[in-house]
Amino acid sequence: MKVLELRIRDESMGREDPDAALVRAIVDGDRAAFDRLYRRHVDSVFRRLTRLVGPDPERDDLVQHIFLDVFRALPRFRGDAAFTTFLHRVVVNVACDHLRRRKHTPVRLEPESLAALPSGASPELDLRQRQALERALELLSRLKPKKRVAFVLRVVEGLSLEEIGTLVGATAAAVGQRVKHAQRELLAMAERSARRGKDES
Amino acid sequence: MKPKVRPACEEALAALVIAPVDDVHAERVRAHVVRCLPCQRARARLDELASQVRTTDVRLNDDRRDRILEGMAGALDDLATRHAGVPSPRRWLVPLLGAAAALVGIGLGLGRWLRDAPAPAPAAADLAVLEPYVVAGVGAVAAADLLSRPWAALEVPDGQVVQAGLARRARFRVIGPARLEVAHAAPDLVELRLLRGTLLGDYDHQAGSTLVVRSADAAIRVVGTVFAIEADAASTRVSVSRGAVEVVARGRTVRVEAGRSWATGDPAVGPISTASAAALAAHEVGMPLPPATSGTVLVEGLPASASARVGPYLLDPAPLAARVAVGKFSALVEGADGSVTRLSAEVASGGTSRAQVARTPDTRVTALPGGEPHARPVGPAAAVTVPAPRREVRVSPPPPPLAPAEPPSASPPPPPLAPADPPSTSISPPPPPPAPPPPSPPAVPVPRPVSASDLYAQAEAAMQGGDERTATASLAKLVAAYSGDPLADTADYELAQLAFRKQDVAGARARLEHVLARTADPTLRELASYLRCRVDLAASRPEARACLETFRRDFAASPHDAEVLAVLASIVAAEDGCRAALPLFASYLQAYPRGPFAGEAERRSRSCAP
Repeated sequence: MKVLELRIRDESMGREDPDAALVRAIVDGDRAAFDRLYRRHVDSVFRRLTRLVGPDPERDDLVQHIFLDVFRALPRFRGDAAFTTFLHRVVVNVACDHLRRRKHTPVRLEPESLAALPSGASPELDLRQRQALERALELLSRLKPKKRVAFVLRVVEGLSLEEIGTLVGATAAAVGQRVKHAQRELLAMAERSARRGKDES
Repeated sequence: MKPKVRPACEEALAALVIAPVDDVHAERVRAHVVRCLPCQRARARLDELASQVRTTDVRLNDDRRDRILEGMAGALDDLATRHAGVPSPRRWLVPLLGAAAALVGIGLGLGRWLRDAPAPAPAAADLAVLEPYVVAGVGAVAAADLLSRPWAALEVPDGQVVQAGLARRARFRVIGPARLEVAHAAPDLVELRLLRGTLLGDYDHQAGSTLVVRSADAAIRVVGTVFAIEADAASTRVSVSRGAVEVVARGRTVRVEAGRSWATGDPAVGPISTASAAALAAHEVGMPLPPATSGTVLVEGLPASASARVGPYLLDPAPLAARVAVGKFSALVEGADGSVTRLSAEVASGGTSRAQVARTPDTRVTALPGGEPHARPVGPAAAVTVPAPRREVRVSPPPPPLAPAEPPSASPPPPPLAPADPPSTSISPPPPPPAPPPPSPPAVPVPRPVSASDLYAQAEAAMQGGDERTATASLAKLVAAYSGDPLADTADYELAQLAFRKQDVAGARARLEHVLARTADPTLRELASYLRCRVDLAASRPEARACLETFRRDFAASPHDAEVLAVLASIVAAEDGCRAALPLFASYLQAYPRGPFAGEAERRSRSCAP
């Protein structure tokens, strides 16, 4: 019985698309295939999620949420788009929902984020970098989720407007407007914060 | 003043990012940006922001990947079962089959119920009960029966503290007078009801399962976290030291993150109080859940509210009864006079043993806090006396805002209510404890306009209301007017915290130096030393490294040790090279194999190894 119409062949390479094969196996009830699919993609999911929501202490929960959503939706996945596109659409949705719920909360860095910063020069430099990161995340946290996501995907990740549109379910023009407004707001906030810093000093 | 970013720059930068319509336009935009200094500055800001976001990239290590996958295993199994019933895309069949399955299920369930053999799923059954494993404080030894079985509700009397587990997923500390009930238990949702009292919790969140604690006027959704809830009939305060919780109360949803606190009725979330933070820190290093095979040990004869250390864990306040692993039980206790006592007992499976106590012979035997006569050593042959090293033992009576407001009741503790077993089971209340000595008459306060305690209370109230100015003024007045009062040191410490929050590094440091020069209170010394290291780090002072090293040496058992060790390792790696930090990474991995820095420590240990 044909359950799904998957893009089983990657025509350009002439070999089977491993994601499609894994998806088919999962839908047929192979749980080990899900583990393999998870391991193939969890790093990229975690990285994109971190960029979208920052070093949030709930990221592990969110990653679980994403993969459970994916698992739940797999029987409906028809393979019209690449599996990675489907997966990252879920990532973006979960990130947006999380940002909406979280709203304006102070940015708190996990120790791992501190450790991830390039270190080796001096503790002072590490501290400055940490403060700069906190400032950056604070500015981003004041953007509305849609604008934040568009900005991060375009400016930080370098995706095209069309690619972002596919992920967020919007036209390229709409994404462009979100990026533009996000930039404008970020610059205004940065300017304001610089002025405040000067006034205080 | 309204910030000014030139509109032309905004448009140019937007055009650069969202792709100009054609090559000519693109060239024009680039040419403008090259000549326009404000544009370049704005662009540099955006580039800097983007590069900062990129620095958050952290590779997951194998442990963390596995942990995430394991966390969703249960939910995946449930979903897989549902998937298995969907063989074709004819979706209308799914609800039909679902309904049929539900009918069959209901029929089977009804049949079972009629046969009077309801067999709840093990997970749900485990989640429906609280398993007390430590009862401490007033009347604890007499209430040791509490530990013999799980309960659907716990009634904790004034002056008593009960530690309980919930299906190895959560560890609670219920501070009396309190009542905690399991209102609903299913694999995907456990709902507790805190009718009154204080609940400290450490919840291991797993995907697909939610813990909700309801109080009289709030519902608290707990994400994997360490939190405190103080509830009474009128209001609820939620404080979080790790993770985050969502509180729904009075038509609002408030998210409380680590280091923050919120009470129903407060306009905004504020910082966690020192007392709550200290209580949660003590809870984090509290005794873990006992293994399946365990026995009960009774600890008596210690100074009131003294705490014992069992390995790295804190067991408090005495007297207490605890379920511990079978075999040799051993604990160290430091008295207020600096003496160190070793407790020991042989614990048999399902049995009850009394820990035997011996005090160092050279210590002063004096009246103890609370006026109790000192317990005499019991069974000297079995007890081992150890020399009195300078060892940090946190003596942690419930801290002020979390502590019961009245002195411990002399009446026997009421029995716990609503056992998990069917109601037909009779509940025998624990025997009443021996009557405590009559409380000494309260000292008559010397009349004066405003006492140190009044000033401190004023400051606390102001802090809770977010009024830092009044708080600072009250604390400063306290320090100036009552410099000999022990509260002055605490006030000085609070002032240091306030100064640090306002980035007044010099002010904070001066206050902390003052506190450390005066106070002998080990808890306050630890807090002040920790804050001094943070101040030094924030100010990039060269002393920061030495401060962290000294802190680790002086307060080896501190709950901040993991964080301090992680930061110290990072500094040593930065200053002396990665290899020099290898012993610190190893120490971290040994002491905190599941700590937040463990993945990074492991990665660096591997990459820096010679």
